[in-house]
Order: sequence, then C-alpha cells, then structure tokens
Amino acid sequence: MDTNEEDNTNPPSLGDKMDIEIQETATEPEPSATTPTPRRRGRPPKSKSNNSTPNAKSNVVPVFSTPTKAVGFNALTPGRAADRSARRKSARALIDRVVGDGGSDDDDQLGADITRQIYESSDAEDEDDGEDELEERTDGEAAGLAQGDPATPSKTPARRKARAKRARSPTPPRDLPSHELYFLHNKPGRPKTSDNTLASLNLLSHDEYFSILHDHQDRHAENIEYLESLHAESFPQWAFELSQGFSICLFGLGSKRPLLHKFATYIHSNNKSSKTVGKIVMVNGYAHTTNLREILSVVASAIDPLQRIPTAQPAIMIQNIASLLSAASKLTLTIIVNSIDAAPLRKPGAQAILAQLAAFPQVNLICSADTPDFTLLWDIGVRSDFNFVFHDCTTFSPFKVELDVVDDVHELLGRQSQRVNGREGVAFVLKSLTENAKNLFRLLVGEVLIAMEDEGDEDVGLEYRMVYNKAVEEFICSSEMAFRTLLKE
Amino acid sequence: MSTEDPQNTFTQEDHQVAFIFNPEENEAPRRERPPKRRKTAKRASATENEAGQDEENSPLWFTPLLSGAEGMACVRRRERLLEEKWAVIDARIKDILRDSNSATLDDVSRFVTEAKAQCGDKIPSAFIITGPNIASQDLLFEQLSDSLQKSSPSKFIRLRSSEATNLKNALKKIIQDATSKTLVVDGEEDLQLRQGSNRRYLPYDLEALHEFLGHQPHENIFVAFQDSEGFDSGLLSDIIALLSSWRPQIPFTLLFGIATSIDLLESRLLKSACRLIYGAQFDCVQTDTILENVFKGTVISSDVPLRLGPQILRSMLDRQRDHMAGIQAFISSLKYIYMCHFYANALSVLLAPDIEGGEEILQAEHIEALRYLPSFRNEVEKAVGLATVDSLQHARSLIEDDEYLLSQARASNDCRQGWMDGHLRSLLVREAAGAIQPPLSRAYVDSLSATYPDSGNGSLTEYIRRMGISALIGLLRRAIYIFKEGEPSLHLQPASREEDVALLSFLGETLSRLEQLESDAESAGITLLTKYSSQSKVMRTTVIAQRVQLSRDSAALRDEDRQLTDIVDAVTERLTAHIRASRPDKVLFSETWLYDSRSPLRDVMVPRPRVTFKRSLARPYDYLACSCCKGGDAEDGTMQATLPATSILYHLYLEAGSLINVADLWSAFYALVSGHKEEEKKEEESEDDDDDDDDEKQQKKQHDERKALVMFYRGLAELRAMGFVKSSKKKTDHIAKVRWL
Repeated sequence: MDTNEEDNTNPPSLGDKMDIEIQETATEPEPSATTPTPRRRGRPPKSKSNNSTPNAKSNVVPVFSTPTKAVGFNALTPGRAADRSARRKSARALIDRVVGDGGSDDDDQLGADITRQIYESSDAEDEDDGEDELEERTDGEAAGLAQGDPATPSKTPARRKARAKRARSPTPPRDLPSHELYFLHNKPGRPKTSDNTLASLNLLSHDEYFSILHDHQDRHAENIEYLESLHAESFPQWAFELSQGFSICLFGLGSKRPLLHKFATYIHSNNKSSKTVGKIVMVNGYAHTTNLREILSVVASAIDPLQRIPTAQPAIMIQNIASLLSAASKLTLTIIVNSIDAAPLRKPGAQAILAQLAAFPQVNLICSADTPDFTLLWDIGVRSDFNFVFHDCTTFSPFKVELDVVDDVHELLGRQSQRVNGREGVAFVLKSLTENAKNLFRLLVGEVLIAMEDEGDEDVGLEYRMVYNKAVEEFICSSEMAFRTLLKE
Repeated sequence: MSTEDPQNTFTQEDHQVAFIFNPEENEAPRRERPPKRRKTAKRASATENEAGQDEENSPLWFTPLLSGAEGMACVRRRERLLEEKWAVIDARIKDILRDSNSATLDDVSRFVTEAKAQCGDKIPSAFIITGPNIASQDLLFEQLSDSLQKSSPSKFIRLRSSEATNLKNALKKIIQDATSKTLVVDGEEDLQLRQGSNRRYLPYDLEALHEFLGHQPHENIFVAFQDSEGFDSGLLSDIIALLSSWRPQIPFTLLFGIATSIDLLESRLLKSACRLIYGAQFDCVQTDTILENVFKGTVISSDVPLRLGPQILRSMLDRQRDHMAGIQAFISSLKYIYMCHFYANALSVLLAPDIEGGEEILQAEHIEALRYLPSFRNEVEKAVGLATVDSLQHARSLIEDDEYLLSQARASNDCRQGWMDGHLRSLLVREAAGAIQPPLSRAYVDSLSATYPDSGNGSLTEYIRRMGISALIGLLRRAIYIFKEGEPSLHLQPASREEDVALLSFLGETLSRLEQLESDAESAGITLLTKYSSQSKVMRTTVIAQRVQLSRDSAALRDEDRQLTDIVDAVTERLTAHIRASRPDKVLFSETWLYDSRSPLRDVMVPRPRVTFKRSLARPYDYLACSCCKGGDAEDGTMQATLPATSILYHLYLEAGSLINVADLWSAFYALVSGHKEEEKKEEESEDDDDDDDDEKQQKKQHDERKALVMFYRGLAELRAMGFVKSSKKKTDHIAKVRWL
C-alpha cells in the first residue's frame, strides 16, 4: 500500500457531478427490464471493473453472480432493494474486516477490495440513499474521475488499490470542508471507538479542582492580559457607538466578563466626569436562576430606586419601565449582559423582551456571546430592535464564573454529579420557608460569618441569647417560643 | 478596588442575576452614600488623566486623531458635523418612509369608513400584507394609529404576539390600552374605573371597557394584530369571536399585519371565526421600492455631502438582496458609515469649512495629512505629466505652499458639488436615453466604478442611433430639462457651468431644428429615417448556382433623412463628449467627502462568528501572539502542548469521529501535555543534580497528572458550553460530536 495514491482523491469537479445527474434523470422513466444487471446507470468504467473481478468471492456479493455489460446510459436498475441489501452486506463485510483486521493476506485483501467497490459504486449511483452517503458518493466519483476517460474502461490495478487504500486509511483525508466531514463521520455503521473507560481514573472533586486551579499558573496569562488591553483600547469607540443608539455584541472565544467589567468601570467614570446621570445594570445571563422578572425589576429599580414596580408578566413590566423611563428623561441606562446566549436567556420571549428594552433610546445595551451560533437567537424583528454592531473580542480568558466545570464535565460523562443539586436544592428549601424563618436564617448566617471572621477558625459557636435578642430587634419574632419554632425550621 | 484578585475569588455579584453596577458602593454603606461618592469622585478624577479635558456639558465621545495631536476644537467640530449631517439624512429618511406608506394608510381609512355601513353584523377587518419584513411593521402600525385616530375619535390598540400569550392577557392589554390606565395589580387584580364608583371589574372583563366608553363616545376601537403569524391560531379565533360578540356594544375594528398570505391566515382560523369577518386586503409598498426611494434620497441625492464609494454601496445593496435584511438594516448601516467617517477620518473637518471658526482650527498635522492623500499625489502627478507652465506651478505650490494647499482644500467642497452634479446629470441623461437598466441604485453604483463605453454596445451613441425622431425629441426635451431645471427628486440644481450652458444652447437649437423637420415630414407625409435605423437597409437575396447570397444595400436616403442623420450624429457627439463618467476618488481631496471602505462595516454588521471561533481555536497564536505555540504548524497536524487546553482538545476533536471516547481523549491529551512537561523537566533536572527519590518522583508525577486533568476538565467544559459536544448514552464515557466547524 503506497501512499502516493492519495493524489487520486481530488475533490470531484462540479461538471462531473452535473453530468451524472443529467444522465440519471434521463434514465428516470425506467423501461421494463431488458438487462438484469443490478445497477449501472451510465457508469461503464465501474461496472467494467466489477465484471472483470474474479468471482471467487461471489458468496459475499451474490447479486454479482451475473455480471452483464452495461448498455450505455440506458442501463437500468431493476431491483433497488436487492442492490441495497448487497450494499448493506458489503458494508457489514467492510466493517468486520476493519474491526477484525489482523494481518490480512493478499486473498483477503482482494475480497476487501471487491466489497469496497460494491459499497462505493452503489453509493455513487443510488441517489435515494440520501445524503448520509454523499461523502462516499463523491469519493467514488472522484475515483472515477481520476481514472480519466470512461469510454475506455481499462482495468488498472493501481486504481483499485487506490480506492481500497483510501477508504481503509484510518485518518480521513485532510482539509475536507466541514459539511463533507459531517457526512464522513456519520456514515452508517457503528463508530469505531475503543472500549476504554475512565474507570481507572479518579475523577476530580470540586475541592481538588479548585485547590489545583488555585496554584495553577497559565503560561499565557501575559498574552491574555495583553489581548484584553488591546480590546480595552476600543472602549471609547464602544461608548460612542452606544451613544449613537447601537447595541454592541461582543463575541469570540473566551470569557468576556472581565472585559465587560472593565468597560462598566470605564462607563462609570465617563458618566461621572461628564456629569450625566447614568446608571449601569449588570446582568449575568449564565447564572442558573436568571429570569426576566428579576432582570426587569433590577432595571426598574435602577431607573428609580424609590418606586418599586410590581413583579408581573415581563410584557407588563416593560410597559411600566417605559413609563418610568419617560419620567426620568435625563437618565442613560447602560445594561451589560454577560453571556446573552446562555441557557437561561435562550427561553422563548426572553430575547424579544431584552430587545424591547434595548430599543428605548435611553437604554444602551452591550452584551457578550459565548457560543458560535448566537446569531440564530434573533429574528429580523428582534435584530432590528437591538440594532447590533458586532465586535470580535476573542479573549482566551477562562470561564471562571460562567461554568461549573466539574459538574458540567461529570454531567457530560453521565456520572452522578457530586453536589446533589447544590444550589437549586438550597434555593428550593429556602423558597419554601416563611418570610420570618428566612430572615432568621439570614441573621444566623450573618452572625456565624462575622464570628468566623473574628475568630478565624472553623468551628464557631453563637450565643443563643444574643441571637434571640437580635432577632427580636429585627422584629423577626416576638416571643422566645416563636423563636424556637423558627429556629427549628 | 474590591475585585483586585479576580483570579481565585468569587465575589457575590458573580452569581447574582442582575445588579446595579456601582464600584463605589462596595465600600460604602448605603445610608451615607452622598458624602462617600464625593470622596471617591475626587479620587477617581485624580487618577483619570483624561477626565479633566472636557468641561463642557455635552459629553464628548470622539477621541483625538492624528496620533493624538488633533486639537479639541477639531474633535468637537467632527462630532458636531456628524450630528448635523446625520440629522438631515435621518429626517429625510423618515419623510420618505412616511410618504411611502401614505397610500396604504388612505386605503385603510377609507375602508374603515365605508365598512361601517356595509358590514352588517360582521366585524370589519383590514388585512394588511406587509411582506416578510416584520421589522418595518412597527412603523406602519404607528402611522396607522396616528392617521386613524386623527380621522375619527377612536382608540388604537396594538397587540404583539409576544405580549398576548393567552386570551386573558390579550384582553387585559386591550382594556388597559383603551382606558389608558395602568393596572393596579393587587391580590385580586381587579379594576376600578373611577374614584367613587363602587363597581369593580375584573381586568379582562370587556364590560369594564364598555362602561368606560359609555362616557366618551368613540367611533372605532381598533385592535391591531401586528404579527398575526406569531399568534396562536386558537387564540386568534377566540379573540375574533369574542370581540365580534361585543360589537353591538363596542365598535371594534380589527387590523391584521400579515407577512405571508391571507390564505394562510384563513386556514389557521376556525370556520366559525372566519364567518364573522368582513374584510378587505391591502398591499403595502414592497421593501424594494422603499429601499430605492431611501437610496435616492440619502445616497444619490445631489445635496448629500458625504458620498459613498462603489465598493461599499455594492456590498450594502447585495446584503439587502441576499440577506433580506430590511430597510432598518440599511439605515443603520448608513448611519454607521457616517459614524465611521467622522469618527476616524481627521480630515472630515474639511467637509464644511464655511461654518464659523474657519480654518484656524486646522493644524500643521492636517496639512501634512493632506499631502499624504492618494488623490493629492494623483493630482500632482497629473499636473506634472501635463508639463505646462501653469500646471507645473500648480504642482509646485501644492507641494510647497501651505496657503495654496489650504485654498485648494477649501475649494474641495465646490469640487465635490461640481463633480457630483455633472455625474448625476450624465446618469440622468443616460437614463433618459434608455442606456441604463431600471433600478437606479444599481446603475448609480455601476456608474461610480466603471466608465461608460464611448462607442459600441452599451454606449450612449448606440442608444441614440436606435431612436426614432419622436424619441429623440423626447430625449432632447428631457436633457434640456435636466440641465435647465435640475431634478427635484434628487435635489439637483440647474446647471450653471459654462460648458453646460453651451451644451444647453446647442440642445435647444437642435430641438427646434428637429421639431421643424418633424412637422415638415409630417406635412409631406413621409416617415423620416436615419442611416442607422434598420428599415433603411434592404436585404437582398440572390440565388446563384444554387447558393444563396445575402447582401445588404443602403436604401436611398432622402434629403430629410440625411438631415436627420446629421442631427443624430451631432447630438451623439456632443452628448458623449459632455457626459463622461469620472471616478470620484480621482478628484482632489476626495478623501474628505468620500467613504469607500468595506471592512469595518462588514465585520460590524455581518459577524462571522464561526470563522472567528474556528480561527481562535485552531490557531490561538494568531490572537495571543505568543512565541511558544507558533512553532508547530497546526496545518501539519502536529500540535504544541503549550496551546490552551481548549485548543488542544479542539484539535483532537477534529480528528475524532462522531462519537468520542473520553478515556482515549484524556490519554491523548495527557500524553501530549505530559510529554511536553517531561521535556521541560529534563532540562531542569540536568541542571540541579538531585538525588533521585523515586517516591518523590512518583508523587510529582501524580500531581502533574491531576493538574493536567484540571485543564482537561476545563477544556471539555468549555467545548460543551460552546456546543461542540453533548453527552451520549451509546457507550460509557463517550460523548457525541455535534458540531462540524
């Protein structure tokens, strides 16, 4: 098996494909079977070579037992089903061979070649098999094309070898366009992966992850910082774009949260130096609990901290915000959304609401997008409300806050995540408590934290009496009895 | 600063959904905010070096150009120019958009008044086909609302599919908008119409609306479904049925915005709902026409100071056609171009030197920059090439004399106007001669980049020669009009230059001769021909020895015909000589008023995130500019272990099939990373000769492995977050590939 045969795998020229299509449509109205040849349709070279292969392996390809010469373009395919089953069989044979491929002797090799030819040639003709075979189909055609003049179908061993070699090589040809790769990877048959598992590997726990991460020094930290400073140089430009009524979307690899944080600081100092009234609202789209109501109520409180708008349907809240905004006409509100394409904000309607928010002339919106497909979030209406300008902000900085790395990976592997619904669980319990119990809990935690700070060690105790007094002071409970019941909860 | 170490600490804000960003507040307790703020404000202004620069009350967004040497006056001038110029354009766009919908608006209001008498007990409904561009629906419905409320005392309620998710919400919205009251959402959510009345209604009870309207008689209550496709079909049927049942009490009229077709809407509604409708269909002006009008008003129009070059216009038009981007996208692109020009081009101050403040704000840097311009160079080279005394002097003073240069720069506005008007006139004359294809926008763009052929196919000569006498008279009249009166739709002024006047007199003369000729011919009863018209040639067929020979003979031309031919020749000669398209970028100092750069606009308006991601993953050194990773060429398939973990995984990912074994992925990853580490370590170890403790080594190795694992985890989590992989149940510890980037 020599490698220089790879040259034959040129991508098929369009003209060649077109030719074939025309031929095939030309033979579409199939006349009654005049020749029982399984499949041909204007590919004489291939059938020719099939004809001339020795029939020694006919048990593998039973359909091939009566090879007849193709009658030009009028040849037909009487039984697609038969063809398919042959194809399937040859596919299976191929796979078996590849999987259980030991030291294959020459004879074996020959057989493999035949099956492979069947597999590929039927691909090349069978349009109905659809797109998942497109890859091989074009391959087959490419081989046919490379062979040169189809009118003189001389059987060359080199060609057969080439084809066998190419399909056999474990690594796919390089530099395929991505759609071709897709079809290559999704061809029928079980994907060939080893049976290794991660059983021997001790998976990371959260503690270990963070403790190692703490010591870790990224070798590119300097470069990343420099890259970020480059992006930071365009802050004035961004501010200008925002002021002109555009929204900004930053995309690219890496977390853009630190960058946006810096930008927020920049805007803040800008606002102050130019003495305009400006408020900045940061929204963390990646937070699991993100919902529109919370975002909108924070926005509303940023506009006017004294007036609380009731939490209701987001659409109604937007109207309330609109009226608040028209009352505070001098205010510019900058909304900074981290990860606008994160899962919580992908819910239907969320983007439309944000777009409505961005469409207010007093509201400037700048957001970051982390996935490559973020543009699919917006239809034309939403997009024109947002009025986005896009900037490539590849930062390479790690997603420290946005991702819960350990849980994500374990979920990916189908392992039990070790924190049992940590955050959600706590949130659920807290939500089910009464208002007073919640307040007591807050008090308790606060006191414990203060005590920990003061004493600096792990186990701290709180004086029962003191907590009770504090609780009474804050009107959490009125009697000791009530205090006890609350505490129990 | 509270976040000085974001590396390892998490602040509380990180997981908060939303919060008000205020860096000062972190240190200050809430109560004593005002004094605290003052203190930090002082500190901030001390550290900020630029903060002191602008004391004026208007915020300054522009930054000084010319490597920072530009004076503030210039910066401010540029900013003001942008504001002024864009305001003009913006107002014009709004006018055009308003006018474009006026026909539809009239039709709808006529229908509404007529329907009242004819509809019987059905509910009148207007179906407005807006086309697929839902972004422009907003404007249309706003205008509808204005015009309908103006014509009769009525209420207009706009419903959007996102706002009306169910019947209750829709009704609530209708009542709320009609009564223009914000709902008091207390526990019971009920509605009290006025103080003193003790009757309370549910907020979605149309009785409340009826009660409310009882005091103020209204002719119509319009309910507009802006994006009817977005509504749930059951909901639509319900609303129609309900509103129709209330029609005797409340005069509802429905409006539907339809992006697809009315049949589609009908098929979605219940038959019973359809039967309640008395409807009519209205077609909006299509986006193409609007675009053409906007283009005419804002790009072609003669009085627009900032001209756009052919490249950028072509890409904008292509985007409109290919992406169905809608008129809004065109407008924002246009705005962005204006922003770019004034933000990034220091010479844009020259665009309007006649406003007060004159030239004294210009600096030496400006003059230097002027001399760097390609158009300057072109002009000088041309002058030197001419090699007359005057032209050489001109070139010399351009290079040496600052004053002369400035006066030329000052004249550049007149230059622009002259060039522009000449160009537009020639375009219009060609249009009159039928020499350009209908969409004027395309023709304009082509005319900027390509020169017209002087003769042969597609030239003006060709078209004029093909004309009959009446068409020629028409052309001449039109041409005279263009030169004499200008063209109001393009804000084109009458021509005043000498050669224009000369041409005008020639055209007038020729026209009178032609008219004379025509009337003579008419009275003589002959049809006039030229030697170019096809009837004047006679085809002769001769059969000689069984072969057919074709030969052409010019039919004998009469004296009048010869006269006409002469006129045609004269006209073509004059017009072709006069109408010469010139490239705008060749005009001296055209850089101050011409914008023709595709790159920022395309990147900013049409992002290519996939390309970006692919590049950053495959070749991170392009971004990081680090020396360590560059060595191995990624194209060869060799990877450097120094790449970021995500990038290494991406490369491995590319080689994998549709199902990936994580164990194998890990071992490949570890082999790569540890291989690299060992190399490094060897170097270290050769230097300091330690006693090789096996245990310690083992431990060290263990530690390295865990470290690599952390990076592996991180990379994998990032790949997952970016949607490259998802978990798979096909095999244990396998993940599925979901992206072929």
